[in-house]
Amino acid sequence: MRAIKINSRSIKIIIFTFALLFAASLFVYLSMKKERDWVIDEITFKTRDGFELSAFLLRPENPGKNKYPSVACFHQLSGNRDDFLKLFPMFAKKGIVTLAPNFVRQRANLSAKRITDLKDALEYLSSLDFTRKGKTGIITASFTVETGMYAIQNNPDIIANVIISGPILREESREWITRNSDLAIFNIASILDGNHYLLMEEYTARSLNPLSRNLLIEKTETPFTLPAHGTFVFDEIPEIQNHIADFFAEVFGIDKEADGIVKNPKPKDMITFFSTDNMPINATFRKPAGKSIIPALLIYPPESETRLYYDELINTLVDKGFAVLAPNTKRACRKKTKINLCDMEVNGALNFLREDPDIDPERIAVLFPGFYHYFAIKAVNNNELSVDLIMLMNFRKFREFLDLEKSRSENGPAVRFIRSSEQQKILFYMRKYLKK
Amino acid sequence: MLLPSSYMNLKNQSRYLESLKPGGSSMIFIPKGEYFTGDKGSRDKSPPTKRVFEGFYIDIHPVTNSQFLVFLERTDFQPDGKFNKTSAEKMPANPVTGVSLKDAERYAEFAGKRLPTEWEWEIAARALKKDYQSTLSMFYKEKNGVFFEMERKTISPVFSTPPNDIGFYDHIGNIFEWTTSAYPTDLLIGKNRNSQKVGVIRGGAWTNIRNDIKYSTRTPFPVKRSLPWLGFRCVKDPGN
Repeated sequence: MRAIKINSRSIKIIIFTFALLFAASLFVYLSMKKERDWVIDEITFKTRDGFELSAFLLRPENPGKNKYPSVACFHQLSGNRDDFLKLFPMFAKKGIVTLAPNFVRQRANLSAKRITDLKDALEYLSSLDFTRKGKTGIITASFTVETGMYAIQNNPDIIANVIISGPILREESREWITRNSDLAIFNIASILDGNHYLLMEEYTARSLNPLSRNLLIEKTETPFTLPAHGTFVFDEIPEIQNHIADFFAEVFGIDKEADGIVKNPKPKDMITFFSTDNMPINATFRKPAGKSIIPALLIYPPESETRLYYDELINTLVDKGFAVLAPNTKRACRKKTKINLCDMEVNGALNFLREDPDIDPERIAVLFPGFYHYFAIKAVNNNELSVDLIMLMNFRKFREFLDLEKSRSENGPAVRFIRSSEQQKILFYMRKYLKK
Repeated sequence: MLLPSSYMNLKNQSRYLESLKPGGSSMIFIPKGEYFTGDKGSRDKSPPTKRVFEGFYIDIHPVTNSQFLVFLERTDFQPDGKFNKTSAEKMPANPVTGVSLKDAERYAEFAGKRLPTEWEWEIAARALKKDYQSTLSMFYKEKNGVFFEMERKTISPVFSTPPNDIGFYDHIGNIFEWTTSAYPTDLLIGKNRNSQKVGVIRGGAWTNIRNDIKYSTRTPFPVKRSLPWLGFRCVKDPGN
């Protein structure tokens, strides 16, 4: 056997080679990690009439020169954009840029703003440097389905539409399903969803794209005391989230997944608490910095609207030393038959507050808009909530308080400025009852 | 015998009994002439057009389940579409549905008839009129001999609603009906537009939104597919 001579020069070369290999591997690893990092931004974009829509944008942190397919998600009436956050990790994995606006200007008829807002959101998405034109999809739910179908008519770039709990579509929309032969639709409906479960057979039959499909939820029992509807199906039947991600990946022809990982899956201040029947409910929770044992206010939004309308009020209250929990509307609590459902959410929120070590459990108040009066009266009479103060605001006053009466007709409900006099009114009650 | 309950006067009872025979539907004659089709401002791109027609006979109601079942009994034909025999047997007076264009054509051939073109269907539905109101309320309910508008919840038996001025029943709002016309390919976009033949169905079904369908509405539909609310009626040329 031949002896190998190792001198100090050889050792240096070996060490240098290993160091070089290590550095190269590290560089490759970091580059790959960098490519795999996806982030959720809270952005705003302007619609054609100058209205500012806020939205979550899921995007690669360093897109470079890459182009990605994209999806815009539009929540139902009574819904909110937060429900779509559940899909974001799966979309990041597939490599799909996603926009989830706070779709606030919805009304009972197909007003122009509803449709143009949706169109503007799609335009914003396609204007981004890292989105691929012609590979765009939408998710619409319940009331928004018809709006979505209207908005994408004559736009051949929209090639995928996930329809959750859709209404009866107008003939014009049904025709577009056939006329745009590239459009694939994915109908998701519960057997309790009006006629959609029946009609989705027609919508799919009309589609010329072989990737169109239906998903019928036949079970009528869900883990919650609520039939599956709209984006609530993400909570009730979580496997649907995978079906949706797979559908978009197939329609967009994604051969190689981006394997993206969301760095900040939960936006700032967002928490999730559970109703007493274990439904996850997103909420904004803000506490004053550097204070302990503080009073708290549980503030409910008007039905069909999200906590975002309260942002200014929340900030003011937090500045004055209150912790504020502002849940999203999850179930309609104003209807007589739904009172018991409301119970489950409000008690869940109170439990969350009481378990926080910074909150004084003896000083928690609840603020309801007036149309929660059935529930509020029941809660007061039965002392079910075990709180000293339930502030129930007259419906009209509440809307005026939020400046919604005027703004709805002019700019939609999202434009709202809490006047300082109104803030003082709230603070007066809060100080009085919470002995600040 | 199960008789449809709504628009069943004595004359229609005998017509209905005749219609149970295969190919035996009562027909109306559309005389040779020039008739208007299409509509102003129509989104389906069929502007008002004067068309010349040879005279032809057209069924006064869509082919019923009972008629189609007799056809199946007497032939070995297996429908392409999702025709539900069990359900059809329970509702003999309902229009047959769940049939593809091929199924409908085979029935017509069996009955010694043919399917209408979309324009033949349209002029009969419009009662041959030029300025006939083209958006009609589609839904009716009878109470004490008077028909009221209502929302349909499912398919109605034939003769459930009043006829138009020339005695053409179930012309709109009950089931879609197959025609032999092809949907114009220039109205289709995208790479799948030639993947399969797209035909035109007419009439609108109970599943449509009220007043959303006109006599002139040309609905595209892939010919190899079927729907639980898509049926057909037949026409016959005078010499045959």
